[in-house]
Amino acid sequence: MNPANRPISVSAAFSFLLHASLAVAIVQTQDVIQATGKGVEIELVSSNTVSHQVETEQAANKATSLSQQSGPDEQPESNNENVVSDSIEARQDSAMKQLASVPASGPESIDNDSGEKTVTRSTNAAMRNSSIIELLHTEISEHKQYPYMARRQRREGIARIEFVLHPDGSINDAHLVHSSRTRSLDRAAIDAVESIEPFNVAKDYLDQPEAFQVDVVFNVL
Amino acid sequence: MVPVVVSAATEIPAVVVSAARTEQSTLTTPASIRVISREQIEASGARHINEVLRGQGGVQVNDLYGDGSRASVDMRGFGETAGSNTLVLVDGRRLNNPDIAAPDLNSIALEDVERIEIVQGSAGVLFGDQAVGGVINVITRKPGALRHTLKLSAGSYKTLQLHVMTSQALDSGINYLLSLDARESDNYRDHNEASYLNGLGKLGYEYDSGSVFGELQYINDELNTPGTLFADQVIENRRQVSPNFANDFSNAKTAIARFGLVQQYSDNWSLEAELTGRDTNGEFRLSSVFGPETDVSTQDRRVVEFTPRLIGFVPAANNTMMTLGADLVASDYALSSRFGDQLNDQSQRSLYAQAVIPTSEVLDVTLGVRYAEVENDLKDSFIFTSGQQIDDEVTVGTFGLAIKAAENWRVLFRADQNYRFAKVDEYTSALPVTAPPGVNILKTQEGVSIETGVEWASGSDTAKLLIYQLDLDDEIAFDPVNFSNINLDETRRKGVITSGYWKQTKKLGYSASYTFTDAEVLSGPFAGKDIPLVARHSALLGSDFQLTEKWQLYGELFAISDRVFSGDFNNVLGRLPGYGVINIKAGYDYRGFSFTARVNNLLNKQYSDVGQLALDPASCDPVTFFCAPTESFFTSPEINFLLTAAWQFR
Repeated sequence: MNPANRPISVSAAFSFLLHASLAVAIVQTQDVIQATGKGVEIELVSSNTVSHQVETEQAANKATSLSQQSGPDEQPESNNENVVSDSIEARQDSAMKQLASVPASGPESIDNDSGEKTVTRSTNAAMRNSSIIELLHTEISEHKQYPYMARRQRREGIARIEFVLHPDGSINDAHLVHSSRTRSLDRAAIDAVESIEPFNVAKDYLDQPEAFQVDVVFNVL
Repeated sequence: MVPVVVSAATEIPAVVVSAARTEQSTLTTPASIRVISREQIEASGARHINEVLRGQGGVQVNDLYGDGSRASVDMRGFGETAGSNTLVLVDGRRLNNPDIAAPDLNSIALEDVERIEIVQGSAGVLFGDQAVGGVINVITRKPGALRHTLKLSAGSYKTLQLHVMTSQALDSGINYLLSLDARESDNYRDHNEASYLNGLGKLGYEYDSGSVFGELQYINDELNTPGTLFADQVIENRRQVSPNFANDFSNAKTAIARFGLVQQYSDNWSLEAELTGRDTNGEFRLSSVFGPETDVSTQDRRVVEFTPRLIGFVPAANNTMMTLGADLVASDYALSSRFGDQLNDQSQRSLYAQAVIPTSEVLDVTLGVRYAEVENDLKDSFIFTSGQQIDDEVTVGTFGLAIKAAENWRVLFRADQNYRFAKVDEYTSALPVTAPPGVNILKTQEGVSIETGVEWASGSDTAKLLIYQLDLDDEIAFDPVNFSNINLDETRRKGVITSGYWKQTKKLGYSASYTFTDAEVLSGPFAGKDIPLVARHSALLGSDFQLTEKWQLYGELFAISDRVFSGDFNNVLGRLPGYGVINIKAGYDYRGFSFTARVNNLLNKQYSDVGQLALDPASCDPVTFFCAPTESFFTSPEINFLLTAAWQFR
């Protein structure tokens, strides 16, 4: 037998362990654990006026929905419907509480000077406008799905959707302004917008129907 | 291309929907799948796919010359016939051959790989023939924004490697990829010079409801083959070539053409189909321990395959996912040596259906069936001198449960039947040499794999544990004592596969896998014997470390236990010793340039990855012609390095 063909030597294992433990020692001082998402991720890319509390809830909900999607046999859409819709209700309530507290506390806190009051009112109007945009963004994000077939074929693209939101929360005329070049992604983008109906909080923000546009960006990371 | 829209509409910030590509398997199987991502491949600094796969849970790589050029991937412990029992797919195209040659994993340039999926266990229903121990599914990169890559490597044994690639997806929907891979090396052993050229061109078009593509590939593979060394030769000079093999070589030219389409018919149904033609013309000189061969043999194979399948969901049945398909494979094989000729044709046809049924929010049930038939038209100078047709058919089924046991946890149970038809060149040297016409002298190998596993995943952290038992009837193997292909009686493989990845911090990650395999013959003349070349234990420990923004380190320890020498079904020889090696890599990135240095076998271990039973010419009895079996070795490289400079332009 060839004496050169020895099993693992102790030195090999020792050296490797040394390498690994050194690496641990160096890095432990540097960083925090990062939770990298997997499966289908939904990310907000807008500026954030929604409270940290909502963000925290979103992270929790995201983790829940991701865990449902892990694995090679994952089923698209329907499996997550219940989880997602439950979490949306909870989140919408929470977001509404946060938003409701803004106009309520604002005027009271700076009510001494009439000039300031006007500024505050206009700020509140701007905040209201920005708030409904954020709420719409959040809702559409939560209803977004990457269609299985498109994921499977690694199809990417940006679909621009326009729709009209009515004060009663109904949505109509949701249509494609710019195609993603993939039919199923265009369809999924429109579905995401239409599925937020009824958007009941609209009555708090709108006096008349208003048109909105949103880009839905599908990408395989 | 965005149209200018004059609108009073209020703009909502973009909604981004991202899918993690590493989690999107294109395989509709509930099996345990380990995904090796592009990032992990790059972090490892591996030179070729075999190097990436080595030591992964449930995978044993047997590499004759240490350069991956003549390596086979073994899942579930098959040893010498691994190349016929592990299915290798590239974007769904089968790399496995109709003859016993192992699939050429080097035909996929590592630079072109998006990810590698290791599917544990049989997949007889979805993939049919040869999907016995498992499936390696390689997914190539899809063209996106314009990208050029130039990569140059140089290393030990006068190794020079060049990779050039350009790819782009245009707004018009047209996409293309051009890739050239060239490698020259003297390799570790004497008389082991290698020259490999691999050119790939791909043109595709995406439209709103589908896509089409065409692909042409040409491979020129030239290798001098130094063969094995006896133990005393190894001690004398482990890099030498035995004088008998000093003129041996194995060259092949392969041309591949492939066309494919994906057509989505509705939100729920898609048709996917590929038509592939592969033509290989090979030449080789293969000597034996008894003396040098003088003649050159030729080996040609032509394979045409058509693989359409419908994939879809049935909303009325709780969104059951259906896969319905047909596989048609026609192969012509020709071998010409000084012993005579073989002209063997094989045609395989099969139909399959599989349903993944979500019975509740936590339980998916998988059911499937495949029917396959084979026709062999055999004609040779030895046995089937006037030609013979041998036909067979087989039906296999699958049943699986996938349970989402808790958040982050998944439990799997699967029973999958598998089969492998005898290969076209296996009949020629099968016993008994005189079989009545129409009798299948080599029965179709059939089996069932039963496995259960637990998987945990949280972010990028994963942990998997799988236990299996794979029982086969009529396993087809080569008996080197009688120089014959035979059906073994019952064989059984039992094993445990564990693997995990832990990202301790953003910068530091650990991977680990351990594989236990117990592969033995249960009945017949080799009852109780271990299957040759299968390691009982193998393990891989790896660590990747982002030292700074620009510096990255990687280290791995691979260890494998001893094995029975290839061909030694009687287990009469000693055992090929196990070994452990450490490989390290350092990488440095700077403005689109990257530099890497990888050192393999850092501790300079002297080991042999593969050893085989050979007959000792000095022991031959002149009267009975009996020769004693002895050990021979494919000695593996000692410490070696590869330096790489790459430039990527986007």
